[in-house]
Amino acid sequence: MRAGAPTAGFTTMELLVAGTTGLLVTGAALALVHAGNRSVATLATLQSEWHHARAAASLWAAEWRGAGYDPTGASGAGLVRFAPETLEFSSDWNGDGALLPTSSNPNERLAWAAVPGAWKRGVNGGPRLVMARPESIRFVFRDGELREVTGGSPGPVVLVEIEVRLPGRRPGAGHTVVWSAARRMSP
Amino acid sequence: MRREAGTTLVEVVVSLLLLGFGALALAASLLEAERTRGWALGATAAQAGAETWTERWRLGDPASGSGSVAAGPGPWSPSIEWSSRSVGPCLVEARVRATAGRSAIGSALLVTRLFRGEGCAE
Repeated sequence: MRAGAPTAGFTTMELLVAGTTGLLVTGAALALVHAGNRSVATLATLQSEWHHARAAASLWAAEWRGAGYDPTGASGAGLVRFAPETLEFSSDWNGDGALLPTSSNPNERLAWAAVPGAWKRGVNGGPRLVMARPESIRFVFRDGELREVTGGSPGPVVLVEIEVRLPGRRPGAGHTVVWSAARRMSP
Repeated sequence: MRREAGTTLVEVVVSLLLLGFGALALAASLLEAERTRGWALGATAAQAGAETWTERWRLGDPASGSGSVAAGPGPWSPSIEWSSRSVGPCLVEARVRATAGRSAIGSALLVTRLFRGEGCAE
């Protein structure tokens, strides 16, 4: 072994500085990746909410279009109750002249509820959530001349709109979409 | 001669450049994701607008002929283009194209027909 200080390799100080720098760079990179993952997850969640809204609107529109189906004329099917937060209607789908929510005709009496935070469809067994997290949501009712109907007899109501507002990435950055459906059966 | 201690300026610059490139790439991908989401929202609004137009047309809304209308606000300017015409005795047809943004890519076309006309039995 030669005498004196070694002339090759790294000093302890060099290793410490290199290690600290490496940790800092790695930490910054991980922080960036974490922020990116969080943003992508937020975007995916927001988009997923719109998919749910779209699916719920399709189901609701299909059911509302058939509201009042009454082939015997004896069931009294039609629009039962309407308000910005609720829509209840019936259809005699099996044509037996009665509106009985039995296992054979489970969709003859339907109620839809639309309140901030939940859009629900009620059927046998209680309400089911079809969409969560709407920032605001409401039904708008119109007659055959497209005039808004806000109360009174449900007879004139033909077209119903559902206004859904979902939150955006930032407060106040939400978006509103309106779906419409007109019932095919004459009131 | 061997270095005394620490890292050289080149090493620091290279590290920062790598980090900077990574951050830029990440920001670019997030921006693209946000743009794509905006476009998807615009497409959703445009399709909902087209469905609304179709439902109103079925109720006998006086709109006939052809035209276009905005279906909502936003940078992707969702819009619908519609046209309605007679396609036979007692048969009218409406076509509604829903578009988000300037590109026709991803636009949707709704076509519906109604039994309607003078002297046509309902």
